[in-house]
Amino acid sequence: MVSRTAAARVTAAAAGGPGRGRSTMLGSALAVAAVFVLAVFAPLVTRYSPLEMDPEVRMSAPSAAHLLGTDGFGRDTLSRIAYGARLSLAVSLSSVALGGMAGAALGMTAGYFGGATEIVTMRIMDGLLSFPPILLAVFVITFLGPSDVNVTLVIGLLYTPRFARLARASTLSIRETEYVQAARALGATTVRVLRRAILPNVTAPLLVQASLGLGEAILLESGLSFLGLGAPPPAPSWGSMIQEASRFMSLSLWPLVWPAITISMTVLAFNLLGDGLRERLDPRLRGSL
Amino acid sequence: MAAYLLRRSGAAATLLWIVVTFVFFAIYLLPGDPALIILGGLESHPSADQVAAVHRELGLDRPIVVRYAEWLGRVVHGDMGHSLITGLPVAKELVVRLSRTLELIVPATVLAACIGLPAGVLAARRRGTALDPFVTAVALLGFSVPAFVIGPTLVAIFSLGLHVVPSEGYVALTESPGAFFSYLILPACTLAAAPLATTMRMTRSSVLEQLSFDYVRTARSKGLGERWVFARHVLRNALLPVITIVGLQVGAMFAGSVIVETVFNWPGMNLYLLQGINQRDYPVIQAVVLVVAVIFVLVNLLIDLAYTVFDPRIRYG
Repeated sequence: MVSRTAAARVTAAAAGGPGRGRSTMLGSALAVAAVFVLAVFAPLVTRYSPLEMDPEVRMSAPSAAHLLGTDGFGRDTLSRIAYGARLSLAVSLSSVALGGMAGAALGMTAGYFGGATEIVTMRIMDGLLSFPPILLAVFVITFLGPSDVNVTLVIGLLYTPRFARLARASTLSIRETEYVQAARALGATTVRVLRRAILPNVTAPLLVQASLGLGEAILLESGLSFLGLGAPPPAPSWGSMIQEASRFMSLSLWPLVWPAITISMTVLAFNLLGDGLRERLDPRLRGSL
Repeated sequence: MAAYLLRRSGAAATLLWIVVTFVFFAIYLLPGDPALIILGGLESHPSADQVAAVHRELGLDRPIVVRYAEWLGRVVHGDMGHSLITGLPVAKELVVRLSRTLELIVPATVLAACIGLPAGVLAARRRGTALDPFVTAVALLGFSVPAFVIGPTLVAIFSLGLHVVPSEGYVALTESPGAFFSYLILPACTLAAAPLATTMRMTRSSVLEQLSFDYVRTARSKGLGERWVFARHVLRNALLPVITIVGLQVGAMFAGSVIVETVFNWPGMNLYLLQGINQRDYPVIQAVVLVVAVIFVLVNLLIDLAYTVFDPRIRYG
């Protein structure tokens, strides 16, 4: 019913990512684990609060007292990165979970019932997809106001259509299978059929999509913070750290270097991990490239 | 073919209508009375008479359905209303801003395509040599390093370090072409990074996919030179999906330019939007979101139509 759109084709083309070995997977898994450790044990990583300002040591280079130096307000960069990791991970995990659950519910309902339910749901999803992600986020944040919770809601909203499309496609392909028919013939309620017969069969592609979405969620979160639409200052966020640091670039590059490296490496690790998972979980891709 | 065109265009039109409607109701059903902004900001306390007068002036005292119908009519005629702050027509300013954003997007697209395509093809041809993993690594970095990291990095090297180009700002092409390009080069490169990576990677995997098909073996076994096989057979088929990619990148760049315009203080459409957001200038927000959504939908439509033109096998019933 929905014509094969450009976006669907790209997903298909993107499926052939470059094959990577075990060591890359392991490396990226370790990097992701390191970010989690940093986030969870933030108070143990540094003795400074991320908000504590020390005007004596503004924009200092790395030293024994401040391992990664300090920013324009004399705040410890390592501490802000560690607490920023909390924010980034919390936002990206919960927004992907939110989008995944909403999308799965909508997509499964649309695919299972078909008809008007399907057309209306999927058209709304198409509508959401017809906004560039960051622009839709900016638009919505304008009304909700900048905060970490609202950023999570917006990214969740952005992710909903992707999961809905996947869930719908999978549901369509198993709606008419014999075990679903059997469950229905035995008098199972619709909710039970959806939950017990259909959900287990749509989760694998959804999980792959979720793992691929994590890196992008971190990019979106830090991008919104960079634009001043994320968690309001002085909350430590990687995006706002870069935004603040880039204003003082001519004075010192240290406050800019560390968050820049952290974001890039974290997103890279998440992307590699997601790619690796996809190749492993989707046998059709195995050995394709 | 005609039926497909009609149906696809119909779907795009429906989508546009949904988007337009969403933008209208999102603005008017959410808090923040425009009358307050005109009368001195959201924190001001004008008298009820003043507010009512402004409401009448803006037509806000009439039922929402009537306003919706009127708004639709005006939008179709290209009238986006007037800025609440300056009182100037939004459409006029938007045209100027949009052209500046395009001045950024067009060179970035050219850059991404002119480097990404050959690099992707080369990586696929030299599969197994050191070049291939190098291209792959560059592509991965391009996906993962955000524009707000690439931008400041380029500024640090080329503006603060080497002093070859200015770090931010804009000069009109008509004013001074030389200065225009010196201001353009860093933002255009920043904006091109992500689409370049995508184009490179998609080209590579598309070429590799074609190389695995039987017709390539047939072409080779009948004695055709490698060059000929590549140019006449593989590339023709491999570049088809790449059209989609490049097209979608153009759409994505309208979004990516939000960050780039902020980093380089490039006074395009996105800075106009952010400024509108800061001042709660609703007609401006509405207009920019609308224009970007329209561009997005049209680009997608064009890509789908291009497919039917370029690939004779595709005959949508």
